[in-house]
Amino acid sequence: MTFSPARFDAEALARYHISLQDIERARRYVILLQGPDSETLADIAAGCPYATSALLHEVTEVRVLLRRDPHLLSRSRRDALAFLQSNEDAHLQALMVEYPYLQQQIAANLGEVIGLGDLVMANAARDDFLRLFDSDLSLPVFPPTRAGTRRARELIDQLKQCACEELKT
Amino acid sequence: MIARYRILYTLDPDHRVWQAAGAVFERTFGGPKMAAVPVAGAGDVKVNWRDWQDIAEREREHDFFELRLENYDVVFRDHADRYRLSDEIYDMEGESYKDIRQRLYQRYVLGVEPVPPLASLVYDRPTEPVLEATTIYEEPIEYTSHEEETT
Repeated sequence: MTFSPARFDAEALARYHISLQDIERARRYVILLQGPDSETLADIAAGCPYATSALLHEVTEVRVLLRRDPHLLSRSRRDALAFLQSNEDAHLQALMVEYPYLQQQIAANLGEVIGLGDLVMANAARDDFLRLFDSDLSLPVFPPTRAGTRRARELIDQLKQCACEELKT
Repeated sequence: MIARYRILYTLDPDHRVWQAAGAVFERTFGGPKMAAVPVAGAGDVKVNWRDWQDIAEREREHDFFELRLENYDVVFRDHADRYRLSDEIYDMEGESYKDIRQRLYQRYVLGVEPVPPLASLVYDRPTEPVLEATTIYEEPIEYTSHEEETT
């Protein structure tokens, strides 16, 4: 499975200076940790704008990790897992890029502002919500509600249907 | 400040022992209400994404402040053969909840202070509400709790 740059939000790629090499490294990183049948891999390959949010996460995370271990992508899964565990801040930085972007894309494309807490709970889990809540993110993060999380889930599903050419930024 | 927590164990399939892999602790979120939240390894969640997707789905079935430390087992019920929480509740002291989370991560995810694995492989499958469900994986061994300092 390959990632075509044309399938992502070009403005986001430019904003975060994401190159073809970054995209390829993110692909290899996801396969290394999650295997070739990873849902993340399928989400990214499906195309924007949801795919771009997932790509931003993986690119950010692997960039931080590769700065600390340039040979990370040649390591075993067990070693890569251990390295990520001990460099948790890479995952936090990825969350801090991914979720504001996802929130902004939902607002721009679906016309609804959804809370970051609900968004994280809908797309990930409580441990990631906790990371974001305790982070230095300049945006407010409030505890999720069941109704808010359900709505966020619906909006994410709708966003997955949006094509790149429909992107509004 | 002091927070209550339970240790999250995962079953090491190679050695058939339950090893500490994280924790679930109680804290507030800018208001008076307490909620239980897991401290899980970023790598573990990523590598074992199928398990954690199911766990997250179970979390979403509850209001955020509905799950407490005592009943948090329910979110692991689909994977209780691999994830379980300690029966014991411990205390962790820190300067803030963020500090406490960091200490729990250091101790149980990174294993900076090694925690002896559980000897027992007998567990009760968490249910909601309380239903009969006990699965025995091996000959029952008397549960031996490790010595965990409480501060």
